[in-house]
Amino acid sequence: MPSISTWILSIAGVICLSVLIELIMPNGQMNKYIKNIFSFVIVLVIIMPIPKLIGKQFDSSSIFNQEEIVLQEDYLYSLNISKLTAIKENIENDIILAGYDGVEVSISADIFVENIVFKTVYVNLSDLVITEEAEHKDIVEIKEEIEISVGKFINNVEVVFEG
Amino acid sequence: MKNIFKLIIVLLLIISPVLLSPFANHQLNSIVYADLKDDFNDNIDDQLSDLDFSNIEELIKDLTENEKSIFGDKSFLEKVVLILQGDFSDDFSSIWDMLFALFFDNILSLLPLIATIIAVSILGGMIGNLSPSKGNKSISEIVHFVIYGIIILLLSTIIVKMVTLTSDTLISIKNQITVIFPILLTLLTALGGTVSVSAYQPAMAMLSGFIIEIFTAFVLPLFLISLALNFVSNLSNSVKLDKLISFINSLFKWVIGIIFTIFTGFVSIQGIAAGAVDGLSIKTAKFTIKNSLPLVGSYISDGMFLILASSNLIKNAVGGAGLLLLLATVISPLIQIILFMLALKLMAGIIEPLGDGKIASFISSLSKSLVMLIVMIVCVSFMYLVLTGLVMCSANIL
Repeated sequence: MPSISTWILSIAGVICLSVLIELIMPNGQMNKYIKNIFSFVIVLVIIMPIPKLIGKQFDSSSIFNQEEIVLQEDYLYSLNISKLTAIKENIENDIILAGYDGVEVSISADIFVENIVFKTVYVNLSDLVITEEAEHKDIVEIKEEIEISVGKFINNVEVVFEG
Repeated sequence: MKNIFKLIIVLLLIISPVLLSPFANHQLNSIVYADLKDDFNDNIDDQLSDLDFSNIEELIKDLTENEKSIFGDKSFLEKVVLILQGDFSDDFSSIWDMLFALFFDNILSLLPLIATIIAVSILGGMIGNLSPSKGNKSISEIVHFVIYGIIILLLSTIIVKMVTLTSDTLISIKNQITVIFPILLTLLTALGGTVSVSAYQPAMAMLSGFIIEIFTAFVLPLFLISLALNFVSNLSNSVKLDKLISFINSLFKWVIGIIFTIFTGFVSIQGIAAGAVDGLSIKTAKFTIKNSLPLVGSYISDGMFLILASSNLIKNAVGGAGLLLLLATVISPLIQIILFMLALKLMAGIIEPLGDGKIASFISSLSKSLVMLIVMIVCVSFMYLVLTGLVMCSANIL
């Protein structure tokens, strides 16, 4: 800030001047008066900027302008795609382990947000083959079990059955 | 007898699967482990290729020789890969070599200056003390004036160099923060740590914007002010500005202390709480998944866990590499300023008995003001370190 540097320079200048004059001054009666006057001037120069500070309006907006941090969206979107695939595989494996083969799962989700948002899960039961472990179950129970499997991985999502 | 025998054999047959199961699992586990490691590495490579490190690479191209020997002569991406593999520093001996070389180079470059200043002030002191007319003080005063001017001329080049060094270091730290933090926050978002991101984003913006602005625009001039006041105060015996100088020093200490305490305390508490919340929510999700799958297949089919785990490792590795870069940037200026400060104290100690008392007090209060520069750099680096460490510890799923 230029005002601070002028302040410091004026203090330095006045003090240098007073020292020089003390050096040159012959030992007379005016000596101590001149020394006193110079100390007054020095004190005045030191105090001078303070009234200016009181009068000024402090503008805090210039300090607090924050830059937005931009997250790397390409990375997040491709990661969302990987997460989608991984969850789909998890659900399919879980359904197979529960004893139902040939079930196709497809998930519709909003990838282009920071954290992936799942919308609906489409379960295609047309090629359903019930393995030995899960016999004697009717279609309603099968659908409930599949919904439970989906619910283990994704919360609050609608499951639509086809076929 | 026969019955007991039969009983024992039947019992053995029943218990044998339990006894042999560790061995069976071991075979299975080693196959699983190798597959898992491959999947992991593939995952990590995929994610690393998606991340955009170009801004950081540009920063690294401007590193000086000294900084390169601490950070390593590689690109940032390669350093992150090294850290992921667990290799934190390639070569400790080269770092020590570089530090020692830096030490001795600086000491050697300061020696001529030290010798000149000591010689000049001893000369001046002797002329003043041994002047023929003891009653006439003005000759010693004039001599003192001239010697003083010479000394400040000699010192001013180095002081200007130190000040520009400090301001350059602060600006390069600010550049590092603005470049590395988006990547860290992106990784944190990918892990699902949304609460943490909302806590760290304003803190990071404040650090790189407001705080460094205040340091370069307000606190650094304070050092120059105290330098000028020091010079003027020791010019003559009658005008003393010691209390004004101590006012400037206290102002400096309080401003830095308040900024530092508020920032670190606030960010730490917010960050720890937010990080714990995110870590808990992520771990809960993981727990649900793990419980739902039967024991044998739990790791093989958990693709989601692999993705999150690799993001986690990459986040920590990027944080570690960033801190290494910070260390490389900061160490050289710090050593230079510390050596200069010690050299000034040495000079003051040597001049005091032999020469003019005022020159000795000027040099020693100058060295006290130099502590300001050191404190500024250390303070900013510490705040950056705390913030990065918090990000590395938040939302960890492992």
